[in-house]
Amino acid sequence: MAGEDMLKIFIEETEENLQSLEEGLLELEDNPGDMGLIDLVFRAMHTIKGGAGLMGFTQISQAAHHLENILDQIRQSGEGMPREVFSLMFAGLDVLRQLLESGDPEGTAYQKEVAELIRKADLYAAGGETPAEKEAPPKASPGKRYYKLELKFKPDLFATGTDPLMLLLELEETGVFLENYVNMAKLPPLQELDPQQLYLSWTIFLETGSSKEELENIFIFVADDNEIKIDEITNELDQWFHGEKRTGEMLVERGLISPEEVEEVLAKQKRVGELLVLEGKLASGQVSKVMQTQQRFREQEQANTIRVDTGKLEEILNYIAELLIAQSRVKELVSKMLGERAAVAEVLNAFQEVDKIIRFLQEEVMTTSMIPIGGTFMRFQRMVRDLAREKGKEIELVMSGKETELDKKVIEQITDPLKHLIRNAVDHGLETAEERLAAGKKPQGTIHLNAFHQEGNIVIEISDDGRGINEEAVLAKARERGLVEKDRLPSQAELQRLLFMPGFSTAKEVSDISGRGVGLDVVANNIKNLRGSVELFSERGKGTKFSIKLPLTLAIIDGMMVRVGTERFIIPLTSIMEFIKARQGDIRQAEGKGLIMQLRNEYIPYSALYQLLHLEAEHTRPTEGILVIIKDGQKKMALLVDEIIGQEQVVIKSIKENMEQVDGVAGVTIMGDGKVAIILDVSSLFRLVRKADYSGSETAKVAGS
Amino acid sequence: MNKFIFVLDDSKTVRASLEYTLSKGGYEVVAAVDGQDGLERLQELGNKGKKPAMIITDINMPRMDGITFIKEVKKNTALKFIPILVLTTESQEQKKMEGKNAGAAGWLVKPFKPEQLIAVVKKFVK
Repeated sequence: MAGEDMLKIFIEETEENLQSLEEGLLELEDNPGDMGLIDLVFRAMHTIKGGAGLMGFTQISQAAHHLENILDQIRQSGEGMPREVFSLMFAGLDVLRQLLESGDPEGTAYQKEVAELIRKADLYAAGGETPAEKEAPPKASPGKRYYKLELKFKPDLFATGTDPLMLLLELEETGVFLENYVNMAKLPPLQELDPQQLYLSWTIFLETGSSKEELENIFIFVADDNEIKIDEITNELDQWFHGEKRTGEMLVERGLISPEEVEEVLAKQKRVGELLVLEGKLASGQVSKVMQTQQRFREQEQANTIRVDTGKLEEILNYIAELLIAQSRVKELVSKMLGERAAVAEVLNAFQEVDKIIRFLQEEVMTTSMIPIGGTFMRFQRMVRDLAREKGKEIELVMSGKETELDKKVIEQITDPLKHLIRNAVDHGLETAEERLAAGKKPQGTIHLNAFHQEGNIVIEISDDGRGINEEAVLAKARERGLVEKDRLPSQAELQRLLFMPGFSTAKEVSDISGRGVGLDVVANNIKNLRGSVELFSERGKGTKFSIKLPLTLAIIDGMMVRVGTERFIIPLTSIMEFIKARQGDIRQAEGKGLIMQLRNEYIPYSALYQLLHLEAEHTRPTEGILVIIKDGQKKMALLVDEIIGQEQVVIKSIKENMEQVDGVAGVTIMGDGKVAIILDVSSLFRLVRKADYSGSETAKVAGS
Repeated sequence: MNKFIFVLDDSKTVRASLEYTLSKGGYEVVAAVDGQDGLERLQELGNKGKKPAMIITDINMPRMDGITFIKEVKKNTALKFIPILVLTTESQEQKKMEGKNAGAAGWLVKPFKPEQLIAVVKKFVK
């Protein structure tokens, strides 16, 4: 393997480990006694050290080594994470991350930081030993330890050359089997038995002087592919053997039947959930929800994964996209060549089949580059914790929809805007504990991160229960800057839109975190670049919510092809509400503004695409062409085009790299006939219309015609 | 000779140390210098109705590497249930992946102590 690949893998792996280290530490802060977590944190640190050592990155491996030592001490002590170790660990985490992100992990740029970290770690380790030693004597007696081992091997274990009997014999050498159960439930009748398959599983209660680690070592080669569970039985030992337990529980513990089997039998009576519902103790919806969650967990556990370079996936997606284009080209050619004869139908049918398969394939491949947003959410936990401390606020971060998946690229690019919005919430949105108490709220503020699917989009919401947006302050600022005329009272929506304008900030003090006036406009721009949109909902005293809507993927959109003159355009399907053939009188002149259209009970702005983009059109009267009703968030507009051609799934070819961004244009696509069509950017179309309206619109002239 | 362990390594030093340690541990040893040699030896032994209780192989070897060798062995129905241990100097994840993908039962990182080798061998051969 080339050095470069190794480096890439190392960086990737280390990033993941730093991430789980951080998550583990955060969880441990709440739950310092969780030995499993301590183990996880230790292992993450250990892997980082090992990897760095192998790569020759001594800075990282040294730093990790010293931290690992401390974690090992804590792990061995069995007394949980001491409070005072967290700041050291977090500091260490930051140094490691800096080293990794510096792009020069073997460099000496952070030598001072590393040296300082190691000094602190050693200091801690030296001081930390004393209390541990004091406590040591009662624990020190090697004594007997008790374990419950569940060994479920995969049926084709023999093919790896491993004999479970050898492992059991090795295990027996460490101590005494108090109880030993062989589960033969899967053993088929003799005539169906395949001698090369393993049908048995074991549950063993072991008394031994060995540590859990030593036992795990026995199963080191099979631990990854088989279900090997080793649990230390501590003080509940008596209960295990003498306690009163239900038959079902006993059987399950000894691995003789599975919990599912117990359920199955119990189901012949009534399920616990059903009984509870019958008793009126639970709503049936709750039960099924719990069961769905259970199901999902199971599925997640069972999912087999491999690592694939995202570059490869992108390449595959690109090829599929090209395939789509090529196939529609062939389709068009064939239908031209064959004319309207009977054979055509069959050929076209075949093409439809191909079409379907390509689409399935495309969807499948697309989902492979989708990752859950949970990882990104988790990162903010630490940030909120640190910021809250810094600001002296009490904040709880609540997350939901962590499993919602979106394109890895989108996730990468949405992280910064999210970070900004969360910082805003901490900084401006939420009050201090005193202010909250004074306002009759609980002292602890809440930030809620939520993600979910909606109409082929992903929605991410960041909400807080803070003070809400001070609209008067916004209005005052807007008037001061001449954005709103003196006497006009703008709508709430308009005021909130102002917040997204460049350089607009109402923060009284410029803080370290946000409020420099470069904020929401950057956020809005970033999101727009992802072909998404952001909306703001706020209520004074109650809180603020930002709702970000993003496309599932960046590469392909479902669009409607329309024609103006000789040009063809794609309008993203998600922006289209309906098509309307206008009648005389539907379009009217609004006072001082452009033209408006009456759409059932509401009035919406009217515009013509040929005017916005300065083209020659076939139809210039609204009643002659077709009106496409498009929307951008809450806003709607009627847009005149010559003709609707049909629905197309198109691959976006970005033109940003070669040209300046043009208002109204999101990109281009190559059509079946090899010609280029422009993909319209609906939200900037709205801006174009507004501009046209303000500059004493020329649409007014058309109105008279 | 009944139960014996088959070792493959292109380094004479490694072969010698394996033979030494294993024979001290009470095992008989047959050695080959690379994958190609290994397959030929196994064929010869097979013709005499003999097969090893365990195979220990290096990964990087001339002519035929350890991974290819393991894959070949796994194709042979007479040999495929023999446990194979890979000797490796690679990182933890790497060695697991490589060996496991090829069908090895376990791995041992070089350099190893004699007692480590014996402990691992004992997992597969009594």
